[in-house]
Amino acid sequence: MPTDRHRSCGARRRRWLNGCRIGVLGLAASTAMAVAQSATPNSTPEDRAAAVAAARASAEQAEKSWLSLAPGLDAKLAPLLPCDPAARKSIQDVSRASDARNQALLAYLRLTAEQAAEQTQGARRILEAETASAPDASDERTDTALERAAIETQTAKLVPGANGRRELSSAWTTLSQIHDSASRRATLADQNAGSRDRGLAALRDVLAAHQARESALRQEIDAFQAEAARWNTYYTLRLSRAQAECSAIGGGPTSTPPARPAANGKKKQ
Amino acid sequence: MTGRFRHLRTAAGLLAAVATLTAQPGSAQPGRQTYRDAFQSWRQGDPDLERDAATNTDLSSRTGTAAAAAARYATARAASLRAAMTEANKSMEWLNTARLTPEPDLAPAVDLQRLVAGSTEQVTKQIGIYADDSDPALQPVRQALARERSALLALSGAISERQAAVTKAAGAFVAVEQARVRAIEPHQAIVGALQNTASGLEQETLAWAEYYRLVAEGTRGAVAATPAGATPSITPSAPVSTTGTAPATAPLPDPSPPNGTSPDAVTTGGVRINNPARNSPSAPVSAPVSPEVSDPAPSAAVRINSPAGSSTPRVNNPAAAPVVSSSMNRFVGSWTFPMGGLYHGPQPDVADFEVKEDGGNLTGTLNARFWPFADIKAVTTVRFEFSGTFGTARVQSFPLVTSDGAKGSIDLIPGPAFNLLEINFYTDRVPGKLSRGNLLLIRK
Repeated sequence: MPTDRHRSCGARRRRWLNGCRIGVLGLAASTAMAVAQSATPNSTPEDRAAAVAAARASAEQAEKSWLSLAPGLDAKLAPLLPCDPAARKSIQDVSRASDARNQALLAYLRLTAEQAAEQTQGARRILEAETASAPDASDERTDTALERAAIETQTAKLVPGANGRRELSSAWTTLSQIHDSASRRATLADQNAGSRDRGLAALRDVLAAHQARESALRQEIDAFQAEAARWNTYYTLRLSRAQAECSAIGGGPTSTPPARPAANGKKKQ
Repeated sequence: MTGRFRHLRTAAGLLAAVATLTAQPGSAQPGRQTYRDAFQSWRQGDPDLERDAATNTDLSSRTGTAAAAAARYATARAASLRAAMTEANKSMEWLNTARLTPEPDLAPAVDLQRLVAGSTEQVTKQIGIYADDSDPALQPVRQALARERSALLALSGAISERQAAVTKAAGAFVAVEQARVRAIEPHQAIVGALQNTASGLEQETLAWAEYYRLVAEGTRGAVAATPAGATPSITPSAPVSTTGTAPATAPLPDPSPPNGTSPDAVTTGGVRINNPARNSPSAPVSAPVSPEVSDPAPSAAVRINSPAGSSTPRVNNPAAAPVVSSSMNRFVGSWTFPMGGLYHGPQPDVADFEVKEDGGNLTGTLNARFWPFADIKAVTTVRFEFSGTFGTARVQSFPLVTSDGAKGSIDLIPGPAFNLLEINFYTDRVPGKLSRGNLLLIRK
């Protein structure tokens, strides 16, 4: 076991900087919570999108802050004596940063999942509306066919008159044009019926995809919560080890405040 | 042009009659059954009209009734189409706005696994250091290190599981976007087909009015000389012009009552008809009139007044002479653009026009939405306000200011029926915005 650990001015500087980082972490976590609470069930989709964006920014900040502390923890503890209160504080700082990060990420994921649920509902509503109006397409075809048939009947009845009275030829011509237009509408009605079938099938796919995404996001939340619990366990055990190391050399509780160092130099252990 | 105007008036007259009818209390809501009923009523109303055209001498009254029935059907059909288009547009709007925002991976597993691996390595090394040390005081340390190592291994597994969930969610994200994009095409086709159907129906509505007029005139044996272009060309892409202002050679008759007196409405054959024809002393004697105005014979669709000097209502009486001035009441009120209505230039989707009187001035607002037109590729809204002193001219012109701050002018032109108003506006050019519009509105 190394016995030449000592505190340095550099170490104290790092502790002060870490204190600042913890402050930032706390702010990020509280922002994430506030953002999550601001997106009430009555929020508009725009409000929800803004809340998700804000939560994402908070989560990014919290992740960045934690990653500025966590990778250097082992290196930071290495020069410290087992009972140095700075060791315990360093572990607690990283642990708090980890908690803040977990809260912020979880808030973001939950908002994303809620947004996804709303989008699933939107897809369901559109699909239901279109399913309800699906018979309109075949009705349109039927009605247009009836129109055409009626025009053809009119035309047949007008032909003798148009043959016998030159003055009716213009009316006959106009009726023919109307028939042509109704025929074009009939073609459109056929096309529209096909488009509606394809549109309905596509909307069913959209709904299924939204449902799958919503489910995947829920699973991601569960997985993240499990991971967050593991991080929490790890930092708790890391702190236990530090206490065990201190006890092994006969030291007292590491929570005891350290003796104030002499103003003119470093204190040897 | 004269023919086009006459044609417009014919259709507009029908529209006015239909609008008057549909404004009656108890009117059915727009729907498929409504237009089916109207269709049956039209088709069963006079099934022998065409057959009788070969032998009868004057079918004016019957063609007028049939034309009104056709217009009733067209209006109901248009309302049903409008509802379908609203539904289709709602789906399109949702598909366009439901685009997902990409989700960044905020906690990349690679970084975390590297971190955990580093700590695990460190702990493993420590465990090795204490492995051969039999000092019982170090036992708790060894146990703590072992627990820590187990926790790190479990953490590594949890990170891997989360990463798998993240990958699955990312795949679901891509699937949603692909499905959404695939759904847009058929819905665009639906909206396009409905628009084209509405356009075709609009043209047919005008053509039916023309058809019955031609049958009426044909049975009288004296088809009015139809100027070139007067017969409607039923092409879906050809909008019908309402034109900006009335041509000098064919002023539109103003059915507003002289001296502001309101005539009694009469109903005949289920059609609400207007006031008796009247002369306007203010009309210039030499004022040129359109063939229709000068034609004393009944016209199938437009003239549904009572003949002058007769107490018996009769469809298709001689046209009223044009009047020069308009009363303020002619313009004041709430107006809207009917489905299948007439326009020139950009096609309106919806238009609400409010005109109010304010101490001898007219003020008003337009809230309208237009379909893509020319270089404007998206649906655009037009909102403006206008105000000005009410003048004596038939056509009232006012300066306007749009919600974008653009300036322009608007002409209010009395339509061929009291419940019709043509508006024609121009504004300074604003990128992405319409700078002109010309449409025939109907009183709400």
